Order: sequence, then structure tokens, then C-alpha cells
Amino acid sequence: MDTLSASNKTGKLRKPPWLKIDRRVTATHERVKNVVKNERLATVCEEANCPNLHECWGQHGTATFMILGEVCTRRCRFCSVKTGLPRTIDFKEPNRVGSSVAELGLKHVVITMVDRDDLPDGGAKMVVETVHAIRRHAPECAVELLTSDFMARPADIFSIVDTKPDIMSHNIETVKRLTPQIRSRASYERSLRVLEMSYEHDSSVTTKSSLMVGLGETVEEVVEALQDLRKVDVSICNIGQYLQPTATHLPVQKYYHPDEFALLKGKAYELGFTHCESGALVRSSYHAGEDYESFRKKIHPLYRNKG
Amino acid sequence: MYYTKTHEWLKPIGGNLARIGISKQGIEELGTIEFMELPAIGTSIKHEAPFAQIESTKVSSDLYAPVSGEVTEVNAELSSEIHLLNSDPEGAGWLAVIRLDSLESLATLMTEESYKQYIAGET
Ligand code: SF4
Repeated sequence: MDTLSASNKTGKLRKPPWLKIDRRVTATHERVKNVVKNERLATVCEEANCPNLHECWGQHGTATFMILGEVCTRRCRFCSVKTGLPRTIDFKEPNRVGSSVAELGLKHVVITMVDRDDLPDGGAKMVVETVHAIRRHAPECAVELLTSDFMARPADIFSIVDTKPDIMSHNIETVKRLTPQIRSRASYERSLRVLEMSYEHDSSVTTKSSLMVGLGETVEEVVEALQDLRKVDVSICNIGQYLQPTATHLPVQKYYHPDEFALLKGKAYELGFTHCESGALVRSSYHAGEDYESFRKKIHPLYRNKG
Repeated sequence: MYYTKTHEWLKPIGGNLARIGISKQGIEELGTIEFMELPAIGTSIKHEAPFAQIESTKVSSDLYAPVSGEVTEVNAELSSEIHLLNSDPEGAGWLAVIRLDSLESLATLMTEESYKQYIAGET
């Protein structure tokens, strides 16, 4: 194609071909959007400007709900969720999430949250309420929680694990060395501790963690992070490319090639993870339903027999 | 002004000519635009088919033609002033002028009112 190229000539890295997304809108996408808007729910898909939105909403008819408002009390340098002083709690939100999950007919839902350091329990009670509401409205639906660290307060974490989510997820986000520069009011050790506490409290609840690459880490550091996750018995890990949400966020240091993602995935399996998704557009909640299916097949022989 | 679901806008400017661009909502979703490849003058574009490629800080994607027609003009200013796409997407950040194959194709687009409802999820 004969083209006129325009650029800002700032020497920015051009996007590799595997980072091209299809923005066409399907009827399924519109259905998801209408439920989200009508029920006044927040999704991390929108708030984080997720590159997979068109695929997840449009092809899979799913979204990841973000509870406890859309304003986060932390200010991580990779994340585009609004930050500031959050609104008061909407006690009817759990019920709206539950009924929306039912309305969308989801078999697997990921619920995430903003950090609510302003609340004494960090929002744990509302997470619990949300799981209960989903179980009421859509008892068949698998629930995956992606939570904040609750400053590693046992009572809050245990109360959530006690709802027996199908997956309890907490992201380390990046390697140890880069954590202080990239995450806000979080610590690498504390995040590992949260995952460990969950597993020690109830080992029947599968734990999961995800991290981004392309922030300046080395492959060795990624492998080290995976080892650390295995040490606390995490069984699912997702690895994806960090993408810069806006000009004011951290710039991308490196675009990993699909072969490099495949390599990391191999490493993860070597280290004993039961399941790993690794790829440029992989996010914590990307294809979460499909992955959980395949995870269950790997760990439950009976389930496998049922086919 | 008319709009598409993929957030392109189209503004008739007399005869069968129309100016096209990316809507404010589209820019909000795309983020900061870093690169853009526009079709050359004389290129035929086809309704809903990709006609230009755009890169934001996050990802790259196609823009989809709001109508079928021929490119008669492109916004040359964008080659040095790409920030116009972010600062004024529905004004100075316009992309191209199209000679429409048929004025009737405008009926496939959303009006400002219906676009607003579409964004709000009221369709
Ligand atoms: S990957 Fe997760 S956050 Fe992104 S669109 Fe899909 S469900 Fe939403």
C-alpha cells in the first residue's frame, strides 16, 4: 500500500506485528457493553484500556468486573486505573455483579478490585459479598478473584479464601528488583506472602499470579520470580507484555518475541506450574475461562474421564 | 457529523465530499497516538474495510472506512503534528477527505444522538 507515514519522530519503538488488535464490534460485544452500562458496573477491561477488550467482549462475551469503585488508592506506574480518593461503598454492587454474571450466562468470571487502603478491611467484606451474590445468581459459574494485598492482613485474606473461590489470584506484576519502581505501596515479599497465606489457609483453593515483561527485567529475573511463586505453591501463572497505557506511564523497554514467550512458558512448566499462559497479549484474566477448563482437566483425572 | 461503531467520524462538506477522522471517544480508547499511516490520494476505500493503520502507546490497529469512496485529500499536517489527533481529533486532527461513491451510504452511519446512546450502552 502506498502510504503517507506520519509520526511524531520521537524515536519511539514501532509496534511489532503481533501487537495489532482488531477493533471491530460484534453483537456480543454490544450485549456485554449494555449489561455493564445498565448495571453501572466498572470493568478493568475499560478502566485499564485493555488491548483484548474487543476479543474478550466481542468473541467470548465476557468481561472482568472491577468492584469497589473505579478509583484506586494506589498509583502504580504501569496502570491506567484512576487514582485518588475513592467514593463511598455501594452496598448494592455485589448483587448487580451477581445478576449480571447470570444475565451474561458466564461459566467463569474474574472479579478484580481497586486497592481500598482507605477502608479498615481493604474491601474484603465486599469481595466476600460479591462471591456470595454470584453463587446465588449463577451457582454454576466458576469464580476467579484477583485481589489486592490487603497489607497481608490474615483476617481479610482468610475471609476471602473461606468463600472458596475457584481461583485466588494476586499478581506480583513484575520481578523483585523492579517492584519498588513500578508498583505503589506494594512489596514483592508481601505479595508472595499473600499467596502463601491463601495456600496455607486452604490448599484446596488454587492460587494464581501474573506478571508483565518488557519493563527492563532480565529473563533470569523472570525465572527467579517464577521460582519464588512456586516456593509458595502457586500453580497457575500468566506472563504478558507490558504495554504503555499513555504517554505519562512507564515506557516499554522491550517487546518480547512470541518465541521468547514460548520459552518462558516452557520454563514455567519445568518449574512445576500446572498451567501457564505466556504471550504478548496475555493478561491475568485473558482467556481465564478456557485456561481454567484446561487446568481442571490436568489436575482432576475424574473430570478428564468425563471429557 | 456521523459516526461508526469503531469510532470513526464523517462530516459532509458539500457535494459528495466528506471529511473523516477518529472520534473523541475513539481517541480516549486508543490512548496517545504515536504513528499513523494514511492512504495515498486516489486510493479507493471500502465501507468497513481497513483504510489506515494507527499506533498508540499500547497497540496498533486499523481504522475502518465509514463509507466507500476515493481519497481526495489527506491531512498532511499530521505527518509533523501527530499530537493533533489527541488534542483535536474531531477538528484539526481530521484524517482525509473522501469522495463518496453514494450519498445513500450515510444512512448506514450513526447520527450524533444515536452515537451518544451507543457509547452509553443504551442501544
Ligand atoms: S484480558 Fe481481562 S481485562 Fe482484558 S479485556 Fe479480557 S477480560 Fe478484560
